[in-house]
Amino acid sequence: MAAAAQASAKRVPNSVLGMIIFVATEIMFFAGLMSAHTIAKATVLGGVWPPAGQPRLPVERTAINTAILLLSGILLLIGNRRMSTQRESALRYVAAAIACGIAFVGLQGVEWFGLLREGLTMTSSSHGAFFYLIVGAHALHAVAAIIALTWVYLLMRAGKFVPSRFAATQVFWYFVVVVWPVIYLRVYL
Amino acid sequence: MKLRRISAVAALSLIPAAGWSCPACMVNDPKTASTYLGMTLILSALPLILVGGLGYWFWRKQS
Repeated sequence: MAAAAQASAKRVPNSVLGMIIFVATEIMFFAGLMSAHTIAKATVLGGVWPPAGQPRLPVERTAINTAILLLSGILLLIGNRRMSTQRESALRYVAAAIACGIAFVGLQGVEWFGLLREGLTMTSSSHGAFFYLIVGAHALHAVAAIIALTWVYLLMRAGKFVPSRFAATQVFWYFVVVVWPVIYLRVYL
Repeated sequence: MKLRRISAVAALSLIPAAGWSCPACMVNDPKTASTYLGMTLILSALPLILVGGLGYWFWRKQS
């Protein structure tokens, strides 16, 4: 009986394994985009990036946004730690993590609106094309992760807590959180 | 016939001074060349690191 319980604890749930494999493919996807961007940056005529006449990206404002996203990752981690002992408190942390994620996407939207008004579009230059492609791909992942996390949160609130489902959603959320600083360092700085 | 064919191929191979499979990799600018090299190394190593990391994690979890 004890041996069976130990073996069960060692087993990785299918949903978590599937999510890890999916995240691995996503890492390759973002690595390909970052690689193309790095090469375009290195081979730009005149060696100046962003190219002349193109708006500069809001580095400071995005740094604050980056901190908000990192905070959401930390909050989710704390929520996960408390899930088995203090369920109500854990749910509050998960809700706060979702709120930080929504704030991140909202602020990104505001930033995009400003950049579009300044003339940075998908077709204005390779700078604009790479910016919207890479940051847009991340934003899509962030929105998908927020939807998944909200769904899991609502189920947990309704008393339908499935640990493997929560764990798989967390894997995806941590991916969204961890890949962003890399994008910020490569695209914005 | 076979010898003539081999000689023709050998003669053709002497025509270009250098036949690079990827012409962009041999650009004159050292910064660009090193960027290509760096990105090639990263993209080649990344799948191995991911699969290796996953395997290591499984091994640690089982042991």
